[in-house]
Amino acid sequence: MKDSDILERISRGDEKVLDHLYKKYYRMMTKVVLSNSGTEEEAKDVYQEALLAFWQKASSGKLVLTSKISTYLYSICLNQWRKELDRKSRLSSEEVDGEEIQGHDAEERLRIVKECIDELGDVCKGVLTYYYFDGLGMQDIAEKMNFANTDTAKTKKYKCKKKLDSLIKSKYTAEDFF
Amino acid sequence: MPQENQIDKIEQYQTGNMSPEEAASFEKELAADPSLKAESDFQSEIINGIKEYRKSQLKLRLDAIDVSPGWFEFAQQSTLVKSFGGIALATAIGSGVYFLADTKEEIPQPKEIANIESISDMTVPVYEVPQFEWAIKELETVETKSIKEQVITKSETTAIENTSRIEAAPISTQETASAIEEKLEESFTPDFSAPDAGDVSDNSEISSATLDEVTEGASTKNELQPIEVETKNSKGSKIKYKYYDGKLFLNGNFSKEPYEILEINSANGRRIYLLHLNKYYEVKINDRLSELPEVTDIKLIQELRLIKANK
Repeated sequence: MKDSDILERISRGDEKVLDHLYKKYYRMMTKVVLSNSGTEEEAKDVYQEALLAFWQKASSGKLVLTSKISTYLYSICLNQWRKELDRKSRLSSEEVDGEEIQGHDAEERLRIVKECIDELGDVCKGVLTYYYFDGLGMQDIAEKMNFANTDTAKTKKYKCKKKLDSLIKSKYTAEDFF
Repeated sequence: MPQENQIDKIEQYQTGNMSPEEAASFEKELAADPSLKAESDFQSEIINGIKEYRKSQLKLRLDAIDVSPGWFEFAQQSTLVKSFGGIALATAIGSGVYFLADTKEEIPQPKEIANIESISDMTVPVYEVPQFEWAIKELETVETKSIKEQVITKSETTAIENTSRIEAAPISTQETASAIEEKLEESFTPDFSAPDAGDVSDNSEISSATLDEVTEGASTKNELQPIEVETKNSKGSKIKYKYYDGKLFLNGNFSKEPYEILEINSANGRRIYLLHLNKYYEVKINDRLSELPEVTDIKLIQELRLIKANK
């Protein structure tokens, strides 16, 4: 597959291309971390983050690629790992108690949001994640979800979002986050 | 509670669909209106949550992909005796040069190898394809024979259907066995393998190959890419599988003994067999998780053993 074909398929949200890329560059990309004092697990995490960042940009059409995909991925992996090493060295030298308490609260709220998404049906999950994460247009969402047309996609997205909002609101209220 | 048009604005703002000027003026509104700010923060959390949710979904998907070394790395990691790549490699070393000699020049450089040039410190993989061609041809001739026999005895209706498809004209069942055999003699090509052969989607060259092209060297044109295998261990004694889009999912009890995959690539496509605990299974295109059918045809099993033993 050529890079241009890959990008075209990603812009339609074709996840098989994601699988393909993941496998194809796994060794090459995890090496960045492995050969710079990272573990296998860290290498995998960095690569997955990098690949998904690439996926998100490419699927939402926000990516202007001036190099090969592999070069691009490689540079994200390198940057991510540098940041992580940086963070690690800061963690060992500083106290971060204050941050942690705030972080805990945000974490709890994120957990609630995810829980609520879990309660939605598959259609709502699909529409909302394709729209907000993958950044797919209504046309692509309609095709992926087998909707009759883009209007159906729009209506679904609107209704699903409303439903999620109210689910989260009621849980936030119950757990005293408002 | 903010109004509907403000909610739209919040969404545009949070999803980055505002021009810098619009965003700046909206930020002023936010600063002046605490309830609007609260709603905007709330929306930001939700959108962030949806993104995180999708991310973990996709990570799960990626985690399920088998990233164990492919056949290019067999040369370096010989402990993984798993796919036919390894088997073919052994043959190439064992009896190689003789068979390689006359076909060598027609072999195109496979794409995979070209791509790998960018990895600087990787050793050049041993190219083992032509060696395998020989084994496949042998298998085809034997199978052709066995199918002829089946046609004569009329025990295997599918074989007859197959013939009629090649002829593009229906053959009535009253036709004598010898007539069918004649037709086979003049027009039979190893097309019989097509229904259960692998990858229609990935390799258009295979499906578009005309009968004339099925000559000695034709199959070397194929781009041979190993199938992707994804394995899940389970305790059941049955092996379940899915196979589509060039990807094989296996679910079975492989903890005691690993499975071996025999991948047979010919001009007509690809056939895949799996060997586990001395039993051979046939892998067909199938996108629903189902039980892997065991090969019961004794002749076929003998052939598969032969291929395996020769490697």
